[in-house]
Amino acid sequence: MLTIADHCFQSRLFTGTGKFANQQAMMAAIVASGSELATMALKRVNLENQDDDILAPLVANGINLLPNTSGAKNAKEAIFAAQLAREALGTNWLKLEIHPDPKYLMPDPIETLLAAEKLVKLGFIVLPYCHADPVLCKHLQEAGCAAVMPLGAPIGSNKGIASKDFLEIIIDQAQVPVIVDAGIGAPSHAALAMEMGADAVLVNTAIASSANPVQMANAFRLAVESGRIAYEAGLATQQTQAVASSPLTAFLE
Amino acid sequence: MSINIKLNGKSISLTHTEALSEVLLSLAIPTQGCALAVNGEIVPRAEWPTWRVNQGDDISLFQAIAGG
Amino acid sequence: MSFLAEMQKMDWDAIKLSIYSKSALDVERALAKPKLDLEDFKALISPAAEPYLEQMAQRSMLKTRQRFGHTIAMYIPLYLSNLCANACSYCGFSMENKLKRQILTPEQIGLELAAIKQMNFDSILLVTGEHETKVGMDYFRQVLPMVKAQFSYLAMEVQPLDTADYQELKRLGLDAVMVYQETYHPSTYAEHHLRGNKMDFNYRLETPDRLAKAGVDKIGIGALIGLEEWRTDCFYVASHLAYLERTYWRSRYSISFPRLRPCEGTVEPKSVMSDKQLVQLICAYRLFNPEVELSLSTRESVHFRDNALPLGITTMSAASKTQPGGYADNSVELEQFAVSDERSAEQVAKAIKQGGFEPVWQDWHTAYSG
Repeated sequence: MLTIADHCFQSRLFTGTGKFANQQAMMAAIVASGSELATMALKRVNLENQDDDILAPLVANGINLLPNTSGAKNAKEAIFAAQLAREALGTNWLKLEIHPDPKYLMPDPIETLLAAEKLVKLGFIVLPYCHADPVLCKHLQEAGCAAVMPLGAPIGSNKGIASKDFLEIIIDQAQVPVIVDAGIGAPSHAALAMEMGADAVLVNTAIASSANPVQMANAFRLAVESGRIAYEAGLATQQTQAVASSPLTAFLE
Repeated sequence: MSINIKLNGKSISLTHTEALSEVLLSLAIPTQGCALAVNGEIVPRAEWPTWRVNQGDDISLFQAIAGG
Repeated sequence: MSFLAEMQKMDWDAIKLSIYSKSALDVERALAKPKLDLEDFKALISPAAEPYLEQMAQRSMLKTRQRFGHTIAMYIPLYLSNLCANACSYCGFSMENKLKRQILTPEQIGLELAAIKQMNFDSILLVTGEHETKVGMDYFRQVLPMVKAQFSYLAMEVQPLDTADYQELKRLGLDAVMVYQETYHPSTYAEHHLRGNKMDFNYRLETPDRLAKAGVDKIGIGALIGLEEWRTDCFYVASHLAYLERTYWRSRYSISFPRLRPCEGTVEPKSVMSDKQLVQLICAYRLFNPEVELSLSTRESVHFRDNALPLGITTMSAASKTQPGGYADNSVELEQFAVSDERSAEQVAKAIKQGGFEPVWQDWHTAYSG
């Protein structure tokens, strides 16, 4: 059971709603994944050609909503987006993401921290997306964020847990849940993150862009479960070698 | 007296000032799961029935869409 | 928020049982892991780990080299006063003991500092008995600037103070504070602390929290080994360290392992720790926490210090005098504890170099503190 703020989750796999062929494909995949939390963006309604309503089917399936501030380029825009999201969806949960860099979508650490501090004071449950920077994660935690969401690799890159060494430090030092978000391209990546001790992972592109999203969602579900079970069971580790030539404790005889 | 406002970038002409909720209703826009800002300030849903639009108001209606 | 709340969730007897129940398999598993937790620490300090001592030493040595290289930070204690308002059964300065009490005047301190400077030290530990009125904040306010003018790194081992006091002392140049809980077992603690403010177990326990909140750079903790069953007490030290690192991530930490030694108080240790067990403990701390500083004082013998040094130690004192005025004037007066390694700083530095290590006298410069 994973507790974030005041909510308990059975599933440690969170999903995004983007990049699917259509709303039906999205729902089928999310249901197959067992995910209990899905992210979504906010944008101005297209009056001529309205987008599918994604909220109703998500809510009908008991999936919790995590609106993001995608599109915001700075703290001010993110705070505005957050308030819109709270108004629109009736939830104070928020995935804070600020990427002024449209090419690589790298999260802005300074604006994210500024926004997080303000949003926490405004009563939001803030889940900030950030680089795998251990000190930044400590600051975000101190600011009152309910979790931290360090990236595994650039958004959509499917490169996996490129930030492994830094995620290890973050997981070691964190006092809030650590959700590895972005870059997870294969179920093995998700399993690795869980084996390392991450509390949850968020997967979007890898499922949505798969040839068979429902199957892939199921594979991710199994990977996250297995990785977590392995972590809790206690992984056996490789022996490290290097034994000095003369005994160090002979002096005690 | 006509009132010209903008809704999501589209120019709209009204014959008289209306409440926000009336504007949306007359344009047949579903508003479940939406949020609204007028001139950059968010107007809570509870106030839509009473908030009257003014000449030149720039209204933005937001909804949740698929995204990561 | 403090360690007190954490400690109240811990059950001494259950922990002791758990330590003694650890098996060879638990030890092997701990030694195979890249990152150890508190359960692994229990295994490494348990009797089951004794046959694995050489292996622990090898790993501990490697871990210490990786983090600290071959440097050993040198420091010296300066006893400013032996006046004490506590009665602690194990200490030479107990108020119950008859000895000439003194508080060093600024002039006397000046002489001590000059003598110490001759020995090359730049890192100093100011030690006092615990006397709030005569050796309290007013005295410290006077003393710190004069010491900091000559030493880059200034540590103190004095009575527990309030957060605001530590903040003020920090502005006056305080870098580190050592505060040993002596024993984490409250009723045993009460048996040994019979009079004075030191009777307040909780206030002492929460001192590292106050230090971290005050932003003091380095915090030293430890138990006086022998007051209680040593394995359990040392597990509490490890738990305390884990809590502090988790909660106050900006601070540095140091652990000492003073073993109960004869002094005026003549207390029989409840559990005796052998030299082998001290090595086991040093290695266990190192393997549990690769970053913590481990400090070995002159309480231990020449033979032990020279040989244990490579295994996990990162800082040492040398040529220590544990009575006030002992550097300028070597006439015998009652010490706080008996010094075993009486070599001069120069002799100790030479031995360190012969062991393939580099004694470092200046680890910091006040210019870095801004």
